[in-house]
Amino acid sequence: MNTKPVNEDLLKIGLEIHCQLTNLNTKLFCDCLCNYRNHLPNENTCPICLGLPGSLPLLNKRAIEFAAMICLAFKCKIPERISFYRKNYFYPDLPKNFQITQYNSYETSSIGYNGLYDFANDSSHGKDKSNINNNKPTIRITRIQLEEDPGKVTYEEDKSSVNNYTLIDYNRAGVPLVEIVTEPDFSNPSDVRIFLNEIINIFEYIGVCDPTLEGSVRCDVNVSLRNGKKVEIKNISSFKDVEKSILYEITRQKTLIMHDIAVQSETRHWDEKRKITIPARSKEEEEDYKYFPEPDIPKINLGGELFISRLKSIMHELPAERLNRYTNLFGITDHSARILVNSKRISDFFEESLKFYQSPVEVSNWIINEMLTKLNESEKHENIDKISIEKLSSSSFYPKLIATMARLVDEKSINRSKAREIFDISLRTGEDPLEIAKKLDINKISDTEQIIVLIKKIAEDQPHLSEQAKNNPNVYNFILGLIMKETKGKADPKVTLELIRETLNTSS
Amino acid sequence: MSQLFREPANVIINRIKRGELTAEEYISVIIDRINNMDTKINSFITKNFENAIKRSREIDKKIQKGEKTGVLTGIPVGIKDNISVKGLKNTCASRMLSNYISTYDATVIEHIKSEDGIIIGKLNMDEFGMGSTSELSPYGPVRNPWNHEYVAGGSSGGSAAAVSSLQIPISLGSDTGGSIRCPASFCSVIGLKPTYGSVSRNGLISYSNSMEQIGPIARTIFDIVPILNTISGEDRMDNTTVVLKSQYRIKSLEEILSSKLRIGILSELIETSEAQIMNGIQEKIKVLEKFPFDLEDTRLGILDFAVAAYYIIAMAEASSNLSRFDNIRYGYYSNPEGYDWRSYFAKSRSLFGDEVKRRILLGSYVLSAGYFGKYYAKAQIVRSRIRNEFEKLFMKYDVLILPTMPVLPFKLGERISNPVDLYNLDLFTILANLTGFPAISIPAGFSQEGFPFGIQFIANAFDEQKLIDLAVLFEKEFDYKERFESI
Amino acid sequence: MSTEDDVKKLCDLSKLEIPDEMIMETAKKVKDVLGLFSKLDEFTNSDFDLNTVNDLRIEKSIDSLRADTLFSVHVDNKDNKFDFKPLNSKNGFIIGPRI
Ligand SMILES: [Zn+2]
Repeated sequence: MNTKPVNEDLLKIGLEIHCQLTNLNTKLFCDCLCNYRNHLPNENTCPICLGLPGSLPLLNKRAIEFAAMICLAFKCKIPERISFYRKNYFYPDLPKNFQITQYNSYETSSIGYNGLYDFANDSSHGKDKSNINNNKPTIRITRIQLEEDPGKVTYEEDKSSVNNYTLIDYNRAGVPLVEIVTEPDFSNPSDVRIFLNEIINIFEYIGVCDPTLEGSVRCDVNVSLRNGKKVEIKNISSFKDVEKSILYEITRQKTLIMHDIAVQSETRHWDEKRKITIPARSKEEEEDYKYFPEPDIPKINLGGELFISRLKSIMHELPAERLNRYTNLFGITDHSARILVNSKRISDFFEESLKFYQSPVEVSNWIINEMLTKLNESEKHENIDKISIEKLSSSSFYPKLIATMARLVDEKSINRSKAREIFDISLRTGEDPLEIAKKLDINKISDTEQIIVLIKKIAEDQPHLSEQAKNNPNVYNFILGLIMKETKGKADPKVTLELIRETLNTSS
Repeated sequence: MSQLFREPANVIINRIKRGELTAEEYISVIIDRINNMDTKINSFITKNFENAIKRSREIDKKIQKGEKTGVLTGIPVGIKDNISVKGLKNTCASRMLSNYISTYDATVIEHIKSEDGIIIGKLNMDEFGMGSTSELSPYGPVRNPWNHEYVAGGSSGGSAAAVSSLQIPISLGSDTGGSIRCPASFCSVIGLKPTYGSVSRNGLISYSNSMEQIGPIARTIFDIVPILNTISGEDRMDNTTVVLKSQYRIKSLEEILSSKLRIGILSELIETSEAQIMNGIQEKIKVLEKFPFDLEDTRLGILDFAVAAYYIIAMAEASSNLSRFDNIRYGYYSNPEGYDWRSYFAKSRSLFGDEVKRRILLGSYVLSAGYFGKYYAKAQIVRSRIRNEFEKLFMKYDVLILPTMPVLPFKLGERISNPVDLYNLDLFTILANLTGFPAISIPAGFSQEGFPFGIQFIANAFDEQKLIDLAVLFEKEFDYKERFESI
Repeated sequence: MSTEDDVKKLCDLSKLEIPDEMIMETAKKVKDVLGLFSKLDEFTNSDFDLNTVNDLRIEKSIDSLRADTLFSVHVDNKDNKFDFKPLNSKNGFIIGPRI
């Protein structure tokens, strides 16, 4: 499939990403649970989130802080004060028939604005690093705003025309959402994929949202070609489909242009089953949301620099910051550092391991070359015990194991294949690698005195060797062989060879 | 028949607390009075008599046991039917909510209950508070106790008429553009609209939520103070409330006169009122001259735009606030099966009254994209300008004096067909709502025909105490108690 | 905006049904009110920008807001239990119209 657009298409893609702040305890305006999942229908509701007459929104302070953390991650400006607006439209999933949101047409009301996302600093695309500086654009973030999620409307029967009524569950109504709006700065669908992955990664790092929960992160897309009209695609339920929907839309618009049909500015829905975009009802387009300031919520003064510096002090390190630290401070290769940083779990595992043995390069090698390989293998084989990163991070045993392995290699200079052997046993039995090493009796003898004694003994037993060695360097290796045999391979070959040379030369 | 219903609440509270009267005895007198009187006045939508008697017995038990009781001990309080009382119907005088029962108590109701006040029932009003006559109710119009063929004023007509007709001593109303003060003026009772943000709106069904406040109605300022203290203060259930400095109180005459109140008289507004109101109020002001006050004529600019600005904002907010009434979650009985959501919404919402429908239409019109700047944004600018003008005046004056209404009560049905005429009558009262400042209407006399009219004081934000001080003085000077003999 | 068609269109947007016999009267009254509103056309003030919203909302500090804790609003005692019976329901779901 060759849908990769060429520059002359002037492909412009913008995104609107909705993210539930799932790590909050309560909803945006009431103290119902933010975690609405696993409830009986309408069980997680109260007068406020059901929009009962007379109820008023009670803003959640931590929701503002979480949203502000997202703003900081995208280098947004955060205003001195924020405010809320009503977006008025009717729909059965909206308890009040308006949504409380933020709106920047009359003032800077949103929690964040004028942000930036720089591909050069992201952590997620080690493989195609070569393009980073050539054609990866900087993405401007228009604004980041805080708003409420509506309820959910479902049908009893799959086929919608059969149903005479809908079933509404307002458990989700009022869950805090952060909307991230980008400028149409993407010129390549694969960049969108990379960006979305990175967003998910950032959410995990700052701990505001669990992207693995279904529906916690949603994305709308707008696409235009050759400076034509902008088409919005909504309803894309999975991130995997975002790239597909863009590619479909490019093909569709190109076909229109080819036939001299003008592309209409419109909203289209992604049809998940057929993998195509279909026009949304025209009514939705004309919708006039009649925004006006929400009188029930005062303007909120955030407190300026103090607020931001306090947030920064409690905020988790961002992936880009970690990447920087790993490469610059630890001297880990860019490639390895990206692999670590690309997953917060792996990166956290790395950090945890470092607590037991502060040798970043060796520890990272063990994680990337040994542990992750093991994980991948276990993924492939159905019938063996699954080892997952979740399990490995759940206790301090595994980080300690990795640290010990790195230390064994660093300090005792055992060779890699033996180290792997020890690692395998330890993973299987949970035994301390040092104990295993002792049992296997493969601790290397690095005590030079002991080796010199052995060399001298051999030289005395076979005096001809010293003479022969002057003309034939192979003798050194022969002696090494004898010593390795004597020590059952515990002697360090490099050190021993050096010692043999020295001992024979000085003794003669 | 006992004449206890004539007594003000503060007298009754003391007698109940001292054990000279039981709460149950008193409440049964009140219930009799309501049963006798309200067939003529039509101020109640829902009566809560059974619960009220139960509650009065509980209060009596507390007193017998020597437990401390609250500042409203044994006092029946009537509640405008747009304020939520758990377990009671909450109709807002709308067919849209004819079957809606509140699931929770408004914050003001919680406070009244904890001060041992008794919720006696829910009071009639204009639908959703949209009106100034209390005629726009599916339960029929509220009748003016001074002449049953005349309007009681609105929209808290039931709240004012029930107090004025000696059915109950205290009621709560809500004031969006004069909805407490207008009927207070028409019924010869005291009505106070507190500073925006001083009384919780939690549980008040929103009409225009940037302007409205819950406030008390009573026959004497001595009864206003305890109920005002009960309902005022910061509420964690309403983010727009603020912490108040101190409790309100009735000061002695000496104390009131010890600080030299500076009073601005809005003469222009007094002079544009009906002749009898103009003369009456000017007469009252003359009496004030004997006190050591600074009295001065003053005026407000840009008043020409106030009514338009007020109604634009009120209708814009109303159109949004009333959107939630779609009859899916609550409302009146109907079944959405088989309907497309658009037609179901439209069909359900057809039960709004005509005035409400017009305000929703106009409100969504002034908010629509092409007209936002022309109407809504401009109205907000006018609003800010009016507020600025008031702030300047309050640098010079403690209290401003003006009439509450420019007219006397009029006949039922007389003005109902001309909305704009009615809107223009609100000029004097909407000023306090546009600015958020506190205002009080107190009885200022009667016309030759026997119709009451009120005088209005407006003070700076959170200066309710000054309104109370002046009201105390007024009440001492002009007593209309004997007038109530005729009711 | 005040012809009968305008009113009908506005009704559609506001999800309101007005009976045919009321449309004319509604249009007339709406027109009257808009006449009142047009008073603002005379209000000119160059100091103000019509693209801003100069409303009188108060300002509060973020520290005054509700903490993100359960039962911070609704104290869960038996007197205060939220007991809401929706108009039409099925298996806990609220029944709505077709969409
Ligand atoms: Zn809730």
